Amino acid sequence: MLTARGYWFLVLIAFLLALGVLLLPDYTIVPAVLGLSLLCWFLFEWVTFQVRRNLAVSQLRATRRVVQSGRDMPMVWAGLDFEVHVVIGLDGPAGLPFILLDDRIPQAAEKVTGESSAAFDILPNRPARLVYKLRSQSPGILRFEGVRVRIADLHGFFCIRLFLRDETEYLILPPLSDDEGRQRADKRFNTLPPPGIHRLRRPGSGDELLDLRDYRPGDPPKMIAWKASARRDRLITKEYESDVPVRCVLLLDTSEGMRLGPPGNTSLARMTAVASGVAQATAGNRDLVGLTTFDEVTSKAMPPARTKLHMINILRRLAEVAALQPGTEGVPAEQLTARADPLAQELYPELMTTRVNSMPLGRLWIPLLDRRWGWLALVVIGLSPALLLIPGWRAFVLNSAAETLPLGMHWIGKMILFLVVLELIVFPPITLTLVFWFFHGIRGWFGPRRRQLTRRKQLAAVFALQDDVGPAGIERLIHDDELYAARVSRFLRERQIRMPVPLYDDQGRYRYRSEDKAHVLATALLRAVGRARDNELYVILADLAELDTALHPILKAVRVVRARHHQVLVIVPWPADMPPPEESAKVGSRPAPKAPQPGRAAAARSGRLVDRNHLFHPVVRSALARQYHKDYRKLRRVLSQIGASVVLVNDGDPVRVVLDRLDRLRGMRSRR
Amino acid sequence: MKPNTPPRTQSPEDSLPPDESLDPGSLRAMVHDQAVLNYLFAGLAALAMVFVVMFQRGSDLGGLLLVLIGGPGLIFRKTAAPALFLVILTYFLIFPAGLPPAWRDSTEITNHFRVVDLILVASVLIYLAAHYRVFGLTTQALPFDAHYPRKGEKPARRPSKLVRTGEIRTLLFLVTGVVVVGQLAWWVVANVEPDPTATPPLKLIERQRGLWSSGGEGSEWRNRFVILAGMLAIGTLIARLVFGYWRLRTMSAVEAGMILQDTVWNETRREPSRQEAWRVWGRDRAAARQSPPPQNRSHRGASQ
Repeated sequence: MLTARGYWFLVLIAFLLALGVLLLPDYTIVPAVLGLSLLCWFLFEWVTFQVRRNLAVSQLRATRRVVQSGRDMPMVWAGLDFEVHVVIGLDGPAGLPFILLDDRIPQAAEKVTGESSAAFDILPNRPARLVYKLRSQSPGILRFEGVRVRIADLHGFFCIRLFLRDETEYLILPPLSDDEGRQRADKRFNTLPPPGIHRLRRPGSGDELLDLRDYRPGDPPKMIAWKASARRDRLITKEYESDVPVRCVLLLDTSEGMRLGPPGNTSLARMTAVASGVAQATAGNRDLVGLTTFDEVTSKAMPPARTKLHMINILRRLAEVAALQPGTEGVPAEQLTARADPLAQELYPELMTTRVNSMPLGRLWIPLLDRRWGWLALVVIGLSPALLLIPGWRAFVLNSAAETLPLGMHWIGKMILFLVVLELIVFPPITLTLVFWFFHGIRGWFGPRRRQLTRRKQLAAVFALQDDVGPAGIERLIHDDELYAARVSRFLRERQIRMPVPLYDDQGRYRYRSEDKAHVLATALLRAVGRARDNELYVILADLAELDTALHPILKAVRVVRARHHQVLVIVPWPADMPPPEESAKVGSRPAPKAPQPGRAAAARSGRLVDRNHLFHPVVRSALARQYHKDYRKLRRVLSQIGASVVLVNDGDPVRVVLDRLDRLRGMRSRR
Repeated sequence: MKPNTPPRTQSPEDSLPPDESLDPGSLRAMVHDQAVLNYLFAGLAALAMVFVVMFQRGSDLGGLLLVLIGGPGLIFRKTAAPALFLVILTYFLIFPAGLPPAWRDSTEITNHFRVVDLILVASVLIYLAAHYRVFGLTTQALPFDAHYPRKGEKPARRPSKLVRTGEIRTLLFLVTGVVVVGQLAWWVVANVEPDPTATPPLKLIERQRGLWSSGGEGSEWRNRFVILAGMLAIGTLIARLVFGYWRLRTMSAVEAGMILQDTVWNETRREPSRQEAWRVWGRDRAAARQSPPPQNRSHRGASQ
């Protein structure tokens, strides 16, 4: 609470008081009077600050509104500006003459105009207001944490820092498609069948007459064209056009590998934008659209529908999945702590102080017996009395001890001194072991271990309080690295803080291949086919390039889809740092690089060497790019063989490709 | 009955400096800012008063030096100026001519509420208050975040629009009160001595011709030290009790929960710690026995 300025001012006062009150009154009393007056002034400021703090701080309230297009919004649209109105009011009787408010801007948005931070003079009937504009470029979740508050006195002697938590989440829906570019509807809707239904020039149960044919036994009598039968003198049956629902099912991959990348520019974000465009354009054509999201574990399906509510639900779901972040499995606990601790200090300043979240020195002591070799200390101590069994040593020790006793000492003193000398001389191994024990243990009070453990304990205490697991949960989080990493990861993910994650595990395996998602996708695809009717288009937006042999279940499912006369379109994301496939020939024409040494290659894959050794970087990148291109070509070939088209998300406009395919499904009555 | 009108809010625009084109830390902005100018004049006037008093005490050199240090320190917001000012002031109070020796006066200690002293102390207080407030208005009013300073963080100033009407008047009243309380405190320190046999254990010092009446050599400063330390200790204890209890009353539920949790953890942490250490050890050993052999390698690019 005392600032550096206040601290030095207090030191000055102490100096004046020491001189003035103790040493100088025989020469002049002015320094003493001045020192006492300054002390009174300082104490008055302190008391005033404390009173204001106790009266006002607990009564501060923050309310927030998000306004877009002049209305309060429960969710916002990506790519459009929106205003944030924060009002900080004071319910208590006292005001705060100087308070600095700083609204924490969400990770998923950037400030456009206005001030999110300003100083105010708050009174009970005069709240402070912050108004600023934000914009989010990509769909996701907009999470407001609250307002940073700093309160100080007018002289800067005292300052407190607190955080008005106001955790609010808003969905950032994908941007709305422009009507001109994507909307394929026109006035001819008026003459079309009901929404979602398209006429197909095949016999069916529609309303429009397609043809007349001879009666076949079994035709329902109501289908007989009596006039035509009378004219031709034989029974003629009417055939109607088929009413075909064209339905588009989007299958979006939300696995961990799709979530990699900088915020707002992940493969998942790009695919979400494509899915949103397809869904809105399809709905604009009054076709039915469904969405299935899947990852390595499970899938979640929204059956095709056409209503506005359904479209909003699709956009909400897309916004939710766009905000997903990769797990931090494999990230060392120390790195997680280094990222989470500043955040916790910022968001929970009152819970991270040692006053309420302490770390006793006893907990920092390093127990010797935690080490396997530490038990040697006990062995040494236990065996040390055996030294007395050596006759020469025993005689030497007893004589030495007797000689050290001073004459004339009280017998109690003699006894204590004798025991001490005996212990020091008889049991030197014990003494040395105890000294070693002491220095081993006290090391925990200093150095980086102390800092690490203190931070971890404080974070663990906050998590234990939030999860309501009690004090035992603190020790569990301190000891269990996996549990701690998972909890910190959740804490960071909820606050949309990204961690640099290792792409490869200790054995050099790519961590984000996500082979399990192939089974989940195949299951979801087959389930969708089981519920399908006719003329469906399945758009798979997934990263399948590296699945290789694990692709088998998907191929089986695609064959089933094709056997049911449905269409399959696969849209593959392309890593941002990978040259596009057109350049593969260029990459392949380069002279073959030298084979990297195994150790360096593993280091390069793990990302350590790539960052440090720039000379090695292009070679590795070139090799990786060639391999990725090769995988992509293989995927494309395999899927094409069974009738599924593969499109790169970077290739032109994938939304247009999907719409073209839908048009083809509508048959001859395409309006394009 | 109060009308049901919405409370007036203040927006950041209200708190902008008068002329946005000027850097609030520049001299030009200070001259154009009425609030800063008021404090500046108050501080300079206090310095002038300090010069007059020092001149009257026969320390014209000291007064001049104090003005030469305090004035530019105030105008250019030098952080070391107040400390330097106080040190030099103390020096010239001991040695008015600027050089030793100092004149010993055994009756000095019996003086109280001298007008010259009151004016000098009040002037110094006004100068210091003005200096810190000008510093807060133009340079930095709040310290940087001590835990994790952010890159490029600018010092936070107190906008001059936040200066309330009558702030200087309040400051003058405050200084007057503080000077009187300071004199009273000095009177207590200089004229009261502890007496364990009395109730309360204090008594007035009886002086004969301005000399110390009881005790031996050095008793006087020890007595002042005990009284001053006692006043500070009792004051701190009372303040700690009052504000500590008040703080507990206004504590949030989350904070209180954390205190309770921390207390229980401190008392019971050894047993859970032992259990958890063994549990993790057992789990790691079981995992080590079942670790799978390395599988295929992939070819994705560098870490993101």
